[in-house]
Amino acid sequence: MSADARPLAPPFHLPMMIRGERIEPSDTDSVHDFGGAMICAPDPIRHMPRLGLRNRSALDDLHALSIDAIVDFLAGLQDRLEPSRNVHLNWAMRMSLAASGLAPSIVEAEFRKLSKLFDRAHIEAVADGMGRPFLEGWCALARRNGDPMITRVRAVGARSLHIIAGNTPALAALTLVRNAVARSDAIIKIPSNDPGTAVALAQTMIDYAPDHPITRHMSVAYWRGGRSEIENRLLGPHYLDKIFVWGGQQAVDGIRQRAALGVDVISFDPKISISVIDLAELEAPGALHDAADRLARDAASLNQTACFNARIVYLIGKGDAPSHDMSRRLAEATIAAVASLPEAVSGAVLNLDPVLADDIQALRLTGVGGQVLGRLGECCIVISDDAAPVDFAGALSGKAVNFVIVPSIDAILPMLSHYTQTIGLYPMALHTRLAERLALAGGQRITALGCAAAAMHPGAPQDGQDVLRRHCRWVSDSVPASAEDAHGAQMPEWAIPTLEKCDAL
Amino acid sequence: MTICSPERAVDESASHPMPPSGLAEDPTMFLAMPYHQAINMPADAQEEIHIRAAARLFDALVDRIPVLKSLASQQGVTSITSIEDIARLLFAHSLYKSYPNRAVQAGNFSQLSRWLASFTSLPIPELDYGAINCVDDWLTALDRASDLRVTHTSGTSGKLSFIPRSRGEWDRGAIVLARCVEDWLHGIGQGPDLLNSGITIIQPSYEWGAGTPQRSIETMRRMYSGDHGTVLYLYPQGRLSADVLSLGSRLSASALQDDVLEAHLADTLRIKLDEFRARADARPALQKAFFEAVRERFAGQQVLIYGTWPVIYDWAADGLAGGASTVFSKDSLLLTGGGTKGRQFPADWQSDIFRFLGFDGHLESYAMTEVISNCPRCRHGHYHIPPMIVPILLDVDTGSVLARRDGMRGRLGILDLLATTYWGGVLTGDLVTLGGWERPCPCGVQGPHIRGVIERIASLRGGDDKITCAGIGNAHERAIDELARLVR
Repeated sequence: MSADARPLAPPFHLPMMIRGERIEPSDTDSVHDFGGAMICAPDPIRHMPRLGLRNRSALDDLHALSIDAIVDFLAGLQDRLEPSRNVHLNWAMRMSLAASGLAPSIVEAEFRKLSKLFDRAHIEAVADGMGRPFLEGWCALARRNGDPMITRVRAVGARSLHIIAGNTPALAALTLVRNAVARSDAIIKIPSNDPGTAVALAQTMIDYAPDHPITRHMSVAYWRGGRSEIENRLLGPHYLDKIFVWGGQQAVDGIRQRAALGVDVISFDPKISISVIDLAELEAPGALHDAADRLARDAASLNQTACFNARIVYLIGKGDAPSHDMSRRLAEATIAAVASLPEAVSGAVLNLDPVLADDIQALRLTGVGGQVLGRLGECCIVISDDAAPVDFAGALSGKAVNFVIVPSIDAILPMLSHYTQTIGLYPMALHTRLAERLALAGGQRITALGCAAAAMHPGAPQDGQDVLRRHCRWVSDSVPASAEDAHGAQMPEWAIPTLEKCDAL
Repeated sequence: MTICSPERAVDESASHPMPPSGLAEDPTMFLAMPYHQAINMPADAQEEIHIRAAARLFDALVDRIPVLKSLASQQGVTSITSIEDIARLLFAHSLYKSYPNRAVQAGNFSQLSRWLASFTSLPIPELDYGAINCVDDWLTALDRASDLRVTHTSGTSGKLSFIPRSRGEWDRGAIVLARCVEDWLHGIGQGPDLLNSGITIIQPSYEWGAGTPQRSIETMRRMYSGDHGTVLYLYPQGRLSADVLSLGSRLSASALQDDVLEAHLADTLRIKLDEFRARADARPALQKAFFEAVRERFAGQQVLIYGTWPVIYDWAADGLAGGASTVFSKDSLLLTGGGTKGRQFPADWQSDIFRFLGFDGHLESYAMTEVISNCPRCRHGHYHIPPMIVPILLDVDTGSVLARRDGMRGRLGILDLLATTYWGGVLTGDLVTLGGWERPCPCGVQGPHIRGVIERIASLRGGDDKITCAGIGNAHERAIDELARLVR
């Protein structure tokens, strides 16, 4: 691409952004190790009183904006988010190349896709998913017979901290969009594997419209996760209404322990995804390679760093020699299919997990527990000896997949849990039969094999939660329907609120 | 703190003794060598012996240990001619816990035996698997029917490792330790002669079990205390249950409450868990009575005390508060391990302990379950590697062998030449700095040593705050899995 692809000279300077103001690191700020990239960032402890937003009514300016105006503003950013033309985003991309551990081909492709999240249609869909009428104003709920009160509901912005994951820059952009539509104040805590994107987005907004309320309600900072001097102060109800925390068990546990009562914690716990493939169907002409191509995409997109990537593949079969033979053929075809994925989808794996490498090596050497095909980092498939995943199935990475042959769907259901996110099914016919049962067993996103990495509908739930609506604070307002209040007392006419007409959802 | 002083630990008159011939052919001959000479063998004299001995060991074991054979063929090693060859044949320390957990959970002990068989040259005996209901049964059956004395770790990483050591190899460990104590503790020949002492051993823990402390004491009892010697246990005839440890390690970090789990435990395991809990509850009172009895019975005598620093410290603090001090004879010995377990002690804690005990002979070592010999610490804080251990330093990222130069830091690999029924090549998870290749330690001892700070590789990995949305909360998932299986 035409963007400047030269590596940055370490240590990289990572500024902090506080509501439209850029703060550069100073000589006294400490240097952090971001997966091998040395990063110097301002210490938020010195800026604490400003980083947190004590005064709720400071959200007034956002609420003076119509949703249309917010959509216009965000959509207006779209043209400015092409990394080859946006110097900040180009810088963020080079930061990611140094710190993400992902192949350059993937990082560049992810940055090129970033502006899609600022499509007008995407932003509108986010607003619809949140409940656009409630964002626009107070909405009356349907009145029951004889109910003396009229109840109106409104979604208002919140003061939110977002501890985002960094396996793709899309998460920083998505956070910006959702947060702006909700009219919330956002503090984004920088993940070490994507240090630059949130800063670059904030700076792009400063360049575009420095005094716009959305620009003025986005802050970006780095501190080491769990640092008590910061988190004990920031995570209380005087500064925050909501905390969105992505990923790692430690990060989620830490936040849950520290967040004060009254602060809403929305966590995207670590997840893994699975596939279910009916071996009998692979006998059909072309089916084996079709399934392999689809599985390759589900397992290896983004180099298997995401929660939606398939890690355990349940193969429904008899467990006899022919089903083992078919599993092996599927494994071999999948390994070949991963090798021929475009580089923007699946590239060189730069960091292999040494613990996983040891676990797989142990299986190869002892031969007890499973059979190993392929190579870790390229595509490695472990076929379990019996109808259960291997002990390390939850830690699979580097394009490694565990095939488990099970006699029926009934054997799979008990193995699903709240850790199971996406379930890719093959063939499609399984879909109609199983969607309901899989949902009840714990599955959170059911799709066709090959579609796990496809963009989700902007309004769809995530990890079993109605995430969009939780970006807002939901406030109710009940008033007497007539001049008589709930206790039968007469109210003067001027005291009866005028209610806006609005369709209840 | 008394550890060797160079004037005494090194025999100046024979500072460069020729190593006895035949060591390369039979490394167990190190056991016959005076310890002070062995530990002081210059690095260059060791290297040739090491390569020849490793080559012989490999030739003898490669066709008898399936995992070694697989690794050798995978690595294309047909014989050992260099340190690099040895480096290619190191077992990751996690290999010894690579058995499928479900073999333990589902009681499939023949599968566990099959797994174990791939690590040892000793035949796994035919066992009556119908009568084996738990790991403890399996270990006991192996003890009864073979020379195997399998040991397991405590499972702090979430899974127990099983290492198939033979009875003879345990004996070698006890001999090395005795020789070390004799020459290292107070100077050459100044330490107690454990092998001929009939010494009383104080073990404030379980009598039975296959944990490394239990196996070590069992061996010391046989080798040191003799037929008429005495071993005092806090739990005589009590067993440190591998099943309880295994269950505990799977659940320790879990969000599941004990009582939720317990409702679904198999009866055998529930009884073990109840016993374990009852013992843990009774421990403070029992321990106090135990130590009082020990003091009364063995005051003024020579003893070997085996325990962790916190346990010994509590005993000493209690005793000193009651006016007791100088309890045992000066030639007694304290063996400790496992650090201070996170306890904060007052400034003079060690001198308090020694004032109470009446002796200051104690040995600190770098040691690991997979390796037979210990590496004793000198007063400069360096751990000296005896010549029965081949140290190999590897680049953390590439795994390539680092030069044998003083001050190089890397991942430590070890080949234990005293292991003859299992492969003693192990790639540790420790990041260390080695010295002694070019210049001797300031304590005067020659040969390789590990300098002070030892880090775990695992703690270096991942960088700060790398967050992705993928993965499973480690122990948590296993615990839920476990629960699902235990439901009947």
